[in-house]
Amino acid sequence: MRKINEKIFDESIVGQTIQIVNDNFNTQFNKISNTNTKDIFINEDSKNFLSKKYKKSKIRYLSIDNNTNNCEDSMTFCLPSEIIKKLLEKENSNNIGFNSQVNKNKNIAIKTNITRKIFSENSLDFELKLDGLSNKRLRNLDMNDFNIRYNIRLKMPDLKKNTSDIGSSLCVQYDKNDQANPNISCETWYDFIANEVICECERQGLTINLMDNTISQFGRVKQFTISKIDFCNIFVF
Amino acid sequence: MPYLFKIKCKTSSNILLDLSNGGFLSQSITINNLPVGNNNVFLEVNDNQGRSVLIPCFVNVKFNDNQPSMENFLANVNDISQKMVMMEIYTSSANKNKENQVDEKLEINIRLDILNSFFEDISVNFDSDKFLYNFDKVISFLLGLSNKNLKDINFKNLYDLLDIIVNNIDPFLDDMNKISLLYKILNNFSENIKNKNAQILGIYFDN
Repeated sequence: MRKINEKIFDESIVGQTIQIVNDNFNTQFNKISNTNTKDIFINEDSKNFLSKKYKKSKIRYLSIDNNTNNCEDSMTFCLPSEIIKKLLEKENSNNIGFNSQVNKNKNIAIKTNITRKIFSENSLDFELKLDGLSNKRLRNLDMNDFNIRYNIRLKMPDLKKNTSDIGSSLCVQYDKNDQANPNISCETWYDFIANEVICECERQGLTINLMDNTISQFGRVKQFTISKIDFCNIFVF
Repeated sequence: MPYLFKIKCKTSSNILLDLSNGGFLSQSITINNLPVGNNNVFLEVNDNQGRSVLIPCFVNVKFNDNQPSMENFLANVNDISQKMVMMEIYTSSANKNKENQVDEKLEINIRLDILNSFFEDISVNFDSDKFLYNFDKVISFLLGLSNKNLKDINFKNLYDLLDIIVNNIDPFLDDMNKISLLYKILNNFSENIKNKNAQILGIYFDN
């Protein structure tokens, strides 16, 4: 799977978007230049988001920058063109490539056990690449130098019976070659009207919502620091 | 200026397969076996400039009441690529005739045998011309297998063959129809791996 993805990605030209839709996964490749920079977005099953219930409600998009966000609320993933421009300027790069796969089921190669299960109904694997040494190949974007937060909306299972389940759930990310150890690199928010979990993540890679009591506690401590709790106490209660 | 004619049929996966074994220059051709269905046979006309046109043949092919067994049907076909076409024709009939359903295990084994023979044949000093010429047949064959209930060993065998295809697919990378079919196979594999062991999952995702 990875080999064919990389071949098609290398073969695609700047300005091109390739989407391959299947029952079990959607694959998307984008190559964007700094002269005609466009949003990178993924919108899986857009029809599902257009229910009357959802249309009536304005769901807040956890945007990277409120002034520059052109993305719609309901997208699985969106990286606004303004952020891409800043990224290209900072890296002194002419082109950016985006390679992604939305897995529409739980058949993914990560290690699960009795205490760790996949909670979200889908997942997103994505990576960004910048100009490489050769004409076609792009190099991986080193995430350490950038303070970008990626918003990923994943589908939650029907929680009518088990709303308590979300207490043990957490958005996590996996590195390419490590399917056993998830990174706690996301904040986790829930949109009960759209029945989605919003993962606001620091890294690239396979992003998924897991149910695991232990790591969800670590995640909560990281997401809700003492300072944030104090803020809530003053302004909410 | 001579035209090259080909008789093609559309499979259930909408792949056009050449029934005329490379085409013909004469005014007529006789083909003894056609796939069952309505209007899925075409005449392709090619000129020497590389242009081609596809003309539908309005043919209604009914299934054979006295269809021989799969082994007998394929027994007299020696050419491997022709065997693939004949197999597609046979299953097109069997799939539409409830009284003549093909045993799935038998079909998997025969299809795998044919595919393995094909790749063994071209693997010695990899014959890329033969591979490219038969690409559609191979993909159609793999598609027919990928949605079957595969054992782990079958799955690994198929995945190894798919790996050879991916390694040699460069001439078709700008042909999205062909690429989509390859992803369709991977999609069927994804459906198939639900009950597979961790090693098989690793093969599928890591490569």
